[in-house]
Amino acid sequence: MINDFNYLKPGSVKEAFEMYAEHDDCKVICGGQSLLIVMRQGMVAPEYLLDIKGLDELRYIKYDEKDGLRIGATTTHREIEKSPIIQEKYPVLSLMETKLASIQTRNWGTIGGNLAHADPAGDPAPVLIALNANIKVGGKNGERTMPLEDFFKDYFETALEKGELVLEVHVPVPPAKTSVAYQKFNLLDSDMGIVAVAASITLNGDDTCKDARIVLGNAAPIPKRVKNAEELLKGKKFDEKLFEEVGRISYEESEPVADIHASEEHRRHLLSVLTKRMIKKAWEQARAVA
Amino acid sequence: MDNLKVVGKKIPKIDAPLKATGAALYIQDVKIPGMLHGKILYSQYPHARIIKLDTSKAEKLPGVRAVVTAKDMPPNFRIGIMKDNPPLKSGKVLSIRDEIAAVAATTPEIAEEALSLIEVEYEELPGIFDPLEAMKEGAMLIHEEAKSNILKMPWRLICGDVEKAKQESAYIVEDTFSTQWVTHCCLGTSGCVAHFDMHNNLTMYSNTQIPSLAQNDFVEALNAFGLKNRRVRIIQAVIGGGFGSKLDTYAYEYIAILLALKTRKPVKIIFTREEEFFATSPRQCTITKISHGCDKDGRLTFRDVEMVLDNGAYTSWGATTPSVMMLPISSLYKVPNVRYIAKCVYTNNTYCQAMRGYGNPQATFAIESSLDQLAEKAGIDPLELRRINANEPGEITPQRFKITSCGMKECIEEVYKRLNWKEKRGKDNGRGVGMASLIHVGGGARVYKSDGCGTIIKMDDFGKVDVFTGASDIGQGSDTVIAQIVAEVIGIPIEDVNVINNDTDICPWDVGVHASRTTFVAGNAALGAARKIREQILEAAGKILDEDPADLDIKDGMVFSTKNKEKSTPLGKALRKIHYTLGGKMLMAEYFYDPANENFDKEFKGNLSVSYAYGAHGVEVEVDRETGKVKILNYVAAHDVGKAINPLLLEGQIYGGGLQGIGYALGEKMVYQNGRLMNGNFLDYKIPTAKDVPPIQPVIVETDEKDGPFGAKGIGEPGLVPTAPAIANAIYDAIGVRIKDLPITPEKILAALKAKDK
Repeated sequence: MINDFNYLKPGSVKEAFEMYAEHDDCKVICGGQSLLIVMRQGMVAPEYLLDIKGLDELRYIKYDEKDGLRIGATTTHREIEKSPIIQEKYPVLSLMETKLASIQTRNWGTIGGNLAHADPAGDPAPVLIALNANIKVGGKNGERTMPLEDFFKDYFETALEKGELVLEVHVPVPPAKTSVAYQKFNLLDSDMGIVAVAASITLNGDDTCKDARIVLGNAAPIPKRVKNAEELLKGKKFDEKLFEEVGRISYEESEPVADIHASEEHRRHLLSVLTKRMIKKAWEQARAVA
Repeated sequence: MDNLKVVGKKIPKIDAPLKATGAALYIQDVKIPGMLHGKILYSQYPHARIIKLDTSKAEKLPGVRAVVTAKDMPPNFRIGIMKDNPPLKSGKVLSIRDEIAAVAATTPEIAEEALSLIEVEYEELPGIFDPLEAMKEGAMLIHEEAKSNILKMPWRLICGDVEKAKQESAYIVEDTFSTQWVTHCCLGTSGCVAHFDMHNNLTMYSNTQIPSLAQNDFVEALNAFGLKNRRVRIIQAVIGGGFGSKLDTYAYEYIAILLALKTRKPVKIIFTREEEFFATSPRQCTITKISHGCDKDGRLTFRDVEMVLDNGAYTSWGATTPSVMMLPISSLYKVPNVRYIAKCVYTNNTYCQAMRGYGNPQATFAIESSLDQLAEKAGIDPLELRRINANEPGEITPQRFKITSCGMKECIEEVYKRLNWKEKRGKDNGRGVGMASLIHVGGGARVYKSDGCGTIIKMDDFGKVDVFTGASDIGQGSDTVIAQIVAEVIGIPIEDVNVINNDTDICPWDVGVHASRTTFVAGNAALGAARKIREQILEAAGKILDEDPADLDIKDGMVFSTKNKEKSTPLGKALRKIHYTLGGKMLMAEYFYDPANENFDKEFKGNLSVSYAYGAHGVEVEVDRETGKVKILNYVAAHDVGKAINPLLLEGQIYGGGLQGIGYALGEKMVYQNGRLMNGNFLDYKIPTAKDVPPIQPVIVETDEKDGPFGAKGIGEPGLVPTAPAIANAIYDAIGVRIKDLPITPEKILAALKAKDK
């Protein structure tokens, strides 16, 4: 049963910063699709809830051809999924959202809330890290920006300091001939991933690999880059045997844990298969883009 | 049968708008002035001795009105079919869901807090969680007073001579198959409100699917409480799904009764979703050893089945599912020699209940998987093997079932055709097809002394009808089907029929929603009552119109002469004339229908149902050899339903059953580890959602059952009976590995592929 709590509803980001600084034992709620579950289970029982979902200052999707994409923290998953500019410029983000839980959840849940929750099985983080995204956080004492992959520290732990909120996700303009592919493995269509892999491939003019980013979801306490595999790909040509090799690196470098849904070995195996497939898919897509 | 106006039409469920808009009132919505909220404290251990139980702190919490323990229950009061389950436990707890105390308080929050103030000390005891362990000589006894963990339920069916048939068979296969616990996942969780009047008569607001039998159970309970000769009234709220889970009465209901008696206030107990998972009774898991034989032409010679069922710590209807498993074991396809022996075994696990299919899915998984093995051994196409052995009308099966209408062959042909069987089979390219058939009761089932249902019809002054039926609607759509039948028979629009089905003070007796019997039995009862009232209308209208009643007909609410079209009157006007006259009368009729089926004899033989439902499911799958994931590309579900009273609802039953079966086959599993449920929530218990529905083609085969209302047979359960073996068989065709324990997970598939490659 959810505990009794005091409900704080700021009218502006500034007021949110102040309220958050003033109240100890305060959790931020921004959609509640993850928080309410753990509150209902009694795992989290804060004295205060600071509800920032209504802050329209943070609810935006902006795109600029030089600066890239900026998504405000209170933007819902559904808004990202349905955004024409995201569908055009970052289709992998929109596709990822179509498989993130149910429409009801996507209507409630927000990108800021999702990232701040820092569930290693979350869908957006691996895709955004593959897209080289940054995250802007801030509080009463100012704002700071960091690469998203540095934001995650441990299971459900982030770099947010006391009094800080997630404010914005920034996705730079991808280099030429770049494409990102993402897939999670699950048994039900929109379930959490047993594991997931996002891969970004940038090609040179001669179709060799210029750059690669491979991010594993639910494979470690935080979204996990497989940098050895990325290095191996650079300068190489399309080669399915190479992709097998890269998959093996994912198998070895991942640190999944067993649970009732899958053994550790099965998870590693799936990570190797999905890594191989996502590199191939991203590579093929990258050939087709300008 | 021609010119039907309402029956046979795709009419949306009458209650759909209420449910879609949130206007329907479920048990959660029931509020009575002064009502208290009850909460139950469950055991911390699956097997332990209670050393200390101190409720004094909880009693002192402001807002708490009563705290009860086993001491407050009548001594020796037990529930369940074996009377082995005290609603509140003392001394020893035998499973993780054992109820040891309960609280009634002014709010659910206070009740919850009070539970945390109850101090319990346990001495944890080693448990037995494996039925095979529990069966061993000298195993610790779960119930100390019993001599063995094997229940005294000697399930044993012998037809013909299996040993002799084994010697004479050209081909024989033998293997072992197992199934897991799955749960009903009703969206409406369990709950009740117990309310005594000042004379100690009890009203139970309930979502039971057996109001008449529950009434009987509660009368017994009141007797045990020393309240003799009291009335019990069951009022059902709108029920958010049953699937068999509400086929028994449960400890929480007796606890609510006790708390209501103690506080002299109405007491409401509503399960949380977590309670719904761990404290209700799932489908039993089974271990089935099966052997099949056939002659050189593929004709089945025998079927030999031994089964062990994990009964859990107490006994509900789950322990009687072997009685229904006998149906497919003895009579799915023509098989002259049959042996079936089943043992239900006490363990420290959760105890089991009825769930859609009532054992049939577990038995059919073993039978139909084994039949594919036999077909392979005999070198016969598995679909052809089933054609050769298919049941036929007029057959009397070894268990003495009298087969009347039977569309099994038509169903198999539909699968063959719509699945493109010949083209798709045996390609060894990661894609494959498989099939399985089913038999189920389709004309009631005499498992109780009566298989009856009563119906009362009354007409008002305006041509509208109230139908009082014993049949409960648990979401399956019986209120719509009954309204259709009554509207059709009388000759009025369906909007003029009001079905009342939720109050034992008003509605006649019915044995309950089980055995896919409601359309057949309650439909026949409604049909009988509607015919009687139609006769009364025509009789009275004959006098008004000065016509022979035999020449009158009713259509769209108008009574008219078939000979002289000018002679007519609106039904309402005729009714008012009949009513508002000296010596006038109101039109009412009643009918009690009890099908002419038989209880089993001592050998478990007899014609259990007056008709049998058949079907065949065919499925095309694609298996990802690298990940082990199974994708369903095409799913054909052909069902012999006699006659579709409402094809829309019927297809809904097939979709729903099929999807439930797909969950059973490919993913659903209650994970119990040492008696504790590890996945009691919708995040971790993987039930398919609307987005997971594969392309299902429901195919309705109509065989016009002579005893059915408008020719109909039952369809409530069959939709999930053959699903799992059809999928398992398709996977075998696709990748050459057979998974013999459900669910068929990617991990099992990969392990089997690895073993095969070695």
